[in-house]
Amino acid sequence: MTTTPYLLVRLGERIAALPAAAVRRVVRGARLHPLPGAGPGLVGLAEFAGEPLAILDLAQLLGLEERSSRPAVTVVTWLGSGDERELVGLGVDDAIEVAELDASALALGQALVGGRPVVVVDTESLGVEA
Amino acid sequence: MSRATGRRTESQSLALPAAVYAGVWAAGGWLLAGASRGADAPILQVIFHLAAIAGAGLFLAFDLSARASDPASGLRARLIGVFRQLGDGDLIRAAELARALDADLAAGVARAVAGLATRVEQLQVSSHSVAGAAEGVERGSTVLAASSAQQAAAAGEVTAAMEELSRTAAEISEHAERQNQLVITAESEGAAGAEAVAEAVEGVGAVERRIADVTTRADTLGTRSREIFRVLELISDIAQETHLLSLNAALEASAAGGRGRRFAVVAGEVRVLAERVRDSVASVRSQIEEFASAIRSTVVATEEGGKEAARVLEEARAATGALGILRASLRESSEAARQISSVTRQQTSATEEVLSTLRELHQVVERMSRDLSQLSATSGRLRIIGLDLELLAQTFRLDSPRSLKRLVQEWAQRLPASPTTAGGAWAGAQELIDELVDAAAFVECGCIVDPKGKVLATQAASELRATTTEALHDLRKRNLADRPWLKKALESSRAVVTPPERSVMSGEPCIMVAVARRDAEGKPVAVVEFDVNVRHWTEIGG
Repeated sequence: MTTTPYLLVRLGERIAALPAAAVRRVVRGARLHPLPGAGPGLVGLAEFAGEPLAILDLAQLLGLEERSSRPAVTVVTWLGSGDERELVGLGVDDAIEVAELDASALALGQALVGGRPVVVVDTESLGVEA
Repeated sequence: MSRATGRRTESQSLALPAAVYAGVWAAGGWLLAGASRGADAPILQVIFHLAAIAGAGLFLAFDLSARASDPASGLRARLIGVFRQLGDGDLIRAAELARALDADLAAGVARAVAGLATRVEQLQVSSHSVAGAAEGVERGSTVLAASSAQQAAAAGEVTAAMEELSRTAAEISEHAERQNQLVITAESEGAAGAEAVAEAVEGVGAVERRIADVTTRADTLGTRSREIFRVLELISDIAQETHLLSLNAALEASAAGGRGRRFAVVAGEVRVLAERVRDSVASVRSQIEEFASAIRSTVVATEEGGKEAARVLEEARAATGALGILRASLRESSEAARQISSVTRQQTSATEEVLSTLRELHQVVERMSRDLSQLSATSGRLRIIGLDLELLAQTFRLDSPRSLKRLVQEWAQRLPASPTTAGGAWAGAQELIDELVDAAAFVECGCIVDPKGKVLATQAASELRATTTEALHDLRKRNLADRPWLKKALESSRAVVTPPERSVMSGEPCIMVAVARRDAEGKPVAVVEFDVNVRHWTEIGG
């Protein structure tokens, strides 16, 4: 039985899992610079390691109704794969822990942590769609 | 003869000094009567007149008894007749009999009779005056006694009222004194109350100060709890940072693969620690929030308490003011009560003086009333004596308008001696009695009865007729055989007078004058009687 490390985050009442390999850093709610005319998923721009970083609302990206107007924690993550991957900030309500999730459960795109359902985020495909 | 002469000489020798003695007596009485005429004591005049009359009578009696031993027996018999008439007081008859004596004797007897008649008439006049005056005195003193008795009663009532007043004043004084005591007690209680209120004010002030202190401390606590919140915020931030750091460490560890596994465990422990710190901060935060809320409630309650204390303080101050006013008015009340008490005491002493004066006055009036009653009784006796005197004077029959006997005898003579009856009634009797009763104002009632006491005719004075109709009617049906005047009149050849008694008609004293009407043989056929009102008779006489 193989397991993969995932970062569990909280989106309102729900919990989502991001693959730990794609996550580069977890930071506190960065200083946001709102972008005029930006789409619903784009919250604004922030500065990360001396470079501008686009901050997206993960709840909106996942099509969930719950969204926080001002995400408390930003997860700096690689979206997409290969050469097309890019570094973005995903706004979440909180980062919970790094947990090893069962691969068979992940195949269904859904897993249980502590009896609660977890939304597993596919960062590679999410980056393509974006 | 010599024996007779001797006897005569002997009797003369006895009669002469007696006659002289009686003459002196008469002359003395006469002189005293004359001397006292100017005096204001009719009773004295009467007594002196009576003395003179008695003296004169005795003189005549002794003088004539000396002469009676004269051998001329006819003369002697006539003289005895004259004396008998004189002895009976019938001066008219005596004068008539004296005319048959020889000239000297007749003249002497006539002079004596005339002198006696004059005295008797004067006696009658004086006795009328005495009776009238005595009656006036009696009436006056009776009225005075009655009014002084009323005065005594009134003085008694006034005294009782004053005593009541005095008692009431004493009670008022006592009440005022008691009120004063009450006011003094109330004042001391008021003072204690004022002290208590002042203490209360002080206590409430202290409470207010404590409340202000508590408020300040609560504010300080609020400030401290806010500082604690800031510190908690800081701890929470640090915990969050630690948590994120542990996550990042865990991510680095997972990137390191198998080599980072031990590091991941440490990162997990750090994360759990940060989590516990966050939980602790949340717990402390909620406790501090409860604490802050309690402090806020305390501040609010304390502020309410402060307001309440301020209000109580205000009320206590108002109570202090009210107590002050109350005490002032209590002092005034006490002063007023003291004044009332003092004035009432003065009044009581004045009332006592008035009362003692009134008691003396009451005693004086009572004494006066008793004296007046005595005077009334004495004057009543005096009146009776006056009436007796008048009666005594009326026992003489003389040719004088003042002689009731003569008057009544004249009236009786007008009654026919041989009666003619018409239908059982004595013809002319009623008419005669009507006329006589109306003619003489002093007659209250008159009646004519037969010798058996049957009433033949009767009538009352015109002013009494209205009230005495029944009494007259009753009298007509009665038999008067038991009346003293009837018996006396039947026995006597002259008019008789009875002592005064109260009239059934007017209630005033009356004397009864009665005389029998006799036929040619001297047999009584009827008795004429009049009730003579003494007062009216006296007034007319006066």
